Amino acid sequence: MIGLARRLASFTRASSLAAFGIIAALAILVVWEVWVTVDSRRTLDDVTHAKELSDQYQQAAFEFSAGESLALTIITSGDADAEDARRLGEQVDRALASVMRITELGDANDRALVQRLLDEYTPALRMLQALIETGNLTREFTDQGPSPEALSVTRAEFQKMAEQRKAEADAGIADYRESQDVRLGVTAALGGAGILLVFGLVVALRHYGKREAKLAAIAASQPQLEAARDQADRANRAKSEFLSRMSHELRTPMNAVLGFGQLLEMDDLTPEQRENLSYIMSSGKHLLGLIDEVLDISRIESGRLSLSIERISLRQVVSDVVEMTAPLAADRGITVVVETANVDTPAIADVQRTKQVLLNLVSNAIKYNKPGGWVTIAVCRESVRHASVSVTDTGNGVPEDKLERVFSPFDRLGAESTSIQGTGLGLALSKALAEAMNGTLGVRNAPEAGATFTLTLPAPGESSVSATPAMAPCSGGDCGKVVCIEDNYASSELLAQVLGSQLQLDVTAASTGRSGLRLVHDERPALVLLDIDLPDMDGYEVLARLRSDPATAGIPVIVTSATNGAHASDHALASGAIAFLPKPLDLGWLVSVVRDALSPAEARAA
Amino acid sequence: MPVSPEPVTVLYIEDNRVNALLVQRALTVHSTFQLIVAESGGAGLAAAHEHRPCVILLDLHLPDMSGEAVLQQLRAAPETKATPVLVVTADAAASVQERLLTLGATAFLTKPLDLRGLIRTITEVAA
Repeated sequence: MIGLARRLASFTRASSLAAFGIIAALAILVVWEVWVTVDSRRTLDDVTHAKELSDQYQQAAFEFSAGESLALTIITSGDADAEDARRLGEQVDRALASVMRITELGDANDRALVQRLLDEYTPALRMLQALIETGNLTREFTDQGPSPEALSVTRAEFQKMAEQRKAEADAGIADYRESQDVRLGVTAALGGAGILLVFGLVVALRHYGKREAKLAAIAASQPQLEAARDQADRANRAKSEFLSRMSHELRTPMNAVLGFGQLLEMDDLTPEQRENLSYIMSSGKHLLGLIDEVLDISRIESGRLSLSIERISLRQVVSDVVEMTAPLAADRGITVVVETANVDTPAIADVQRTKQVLLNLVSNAIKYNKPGGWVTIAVCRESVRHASVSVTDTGNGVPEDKLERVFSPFDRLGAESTSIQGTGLGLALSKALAEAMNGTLGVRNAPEAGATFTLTLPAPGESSVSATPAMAPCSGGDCGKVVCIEDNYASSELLAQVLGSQLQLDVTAASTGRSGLRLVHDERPALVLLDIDLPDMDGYEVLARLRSDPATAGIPVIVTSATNGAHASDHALASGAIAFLPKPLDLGWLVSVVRDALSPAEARAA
Repeated sequence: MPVSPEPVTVLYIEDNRVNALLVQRALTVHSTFQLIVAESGGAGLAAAHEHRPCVILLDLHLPDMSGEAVLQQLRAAPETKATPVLVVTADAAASVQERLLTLGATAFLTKPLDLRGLIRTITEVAA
């Protein structure tokens, strides 16, 4: 509301300033107009006067001329009668009247000129008067008239004055006309300005009105906008809620289908029943996979996919995937080959999601292959910043014009009419997952036959994972036993496999602190791998109990934790652990730490 | 698998009868388990108080109250404070799991249930 008031005030200020300017301009124009009007009135009188004077000169010149010629005619004819004398008298009166009018209109110069003229004519006029009265107009008149020289000079002056006055009158008229033009322009400008002012005011008022209406509308729509935003938020929450519910609702019946299926599997079944059940189970698992893929895609699209981005070992992920797809490959008679450098290739990604993508790529490569074909998996460090895994099959490849569509959801490129099972979502999801992990997923046809799918992921700056040569087999006894206290089944499974294959250790896992303590007490292993984040008790408490029990106090413990940092490491070492390994585990490091931990134990035992 | 001579009492708080029946059947394969089913959070809390089960299986979607509230009340009551609670869930996100762990959940079991995994986990936490 403060903003509204401020805008309103500033608008009022601006508009009043503009209106003031226009009004001031208009006032100046009005004053000018009045002045011009008065001035032009004066000019008009002057011009009219000058014109009248000039006209009077013309008139006088004409009357004199007419009188002279009449007189000359009478005189020369020599037979003038009373009638001629009367006509000449009238003409002389008209001439005198016109020069008298000049003395009224004109200035001192005019009056002087007229006086001289009259002086020169007076004797002639008196004589003419007598002649008219007697009716005896004779040649004597010419002799007694005004001298022609003097008369001609006066007439020339008179003519000159007449011309001067005419010129003055003409100039006055021209000036007046000009001033009238200017005045017309000014009047037009004034009118225009007036119209402009009115128009401006109208526009300003309308604009002001509209603006106010707009501001009022904005102010009024504020609650509506808030309501719309709330509605959008609610809709978004509803969508999240829906996804969560759908996940639950769809998976719940699958629990019954697959659960009772598992129960049946435990029973004694006829071979036919077992086969039928296998179809129920495989279809159920397929449906579950589809549900999960749809939910994953929904999550990615709604930005709700939670990833745990960390340093992962691509070689490890590939090895897991190969193992998981081994039954499928064996079933189809496909040979899977892994090409990888001795040095492990790390990547920065979510280990489960990376596995999901590679599982999809490798299963596809097996499924869309020719009988007895090959699948080649190549792991390599693409550049300083990228690592990649390429999966190449020996199938028919992807038609060039369909390469684009490979990653479209539900587009199986005609495979729906074949016996190859698939959801049509796998590659779309894989690509989305790769991109969610700041990676890419691309496809190209292999030079010979088949297609190559390449997953590229960001790689850590330096490669600190070293190759880990296998340790000499431990020679029996407790030294081969390791207890892993870890609630994540996949993690303990991974440890078991790595330590089993690399160091020939026998790993037994416990998923809670309590079961772990009992297991360590019963088994007396050579080493304990302890995860700090346990479901039932704090890992440090487990460590403290192991240390306080004389039976287990001597067993080295390696602490692992997703809680990273120097503090966690210090705490673990201060609590009696021989090493602290942050999660995600660097398997190369793990193997070397375990090997080092077991060597002194062997020495001690020996 | 270590088998204790005493039957292990398991309380399953679950409103879906088919799911309850499935777990019932799965557990009765082994004579070591005795399953009690409660179809609501309230009934579950009452049964936990009455039967003092060794392990509680808790579904998160209950008709009368949230599984989270049930867990909190179980942890607040002295007689069930230390009882392992396995949360049976179809869809728990990492954030939800974390919250439940801080509230005292022992572990998670994902639906559709892996029955062998279920029995293994119950055996482990009941020990």
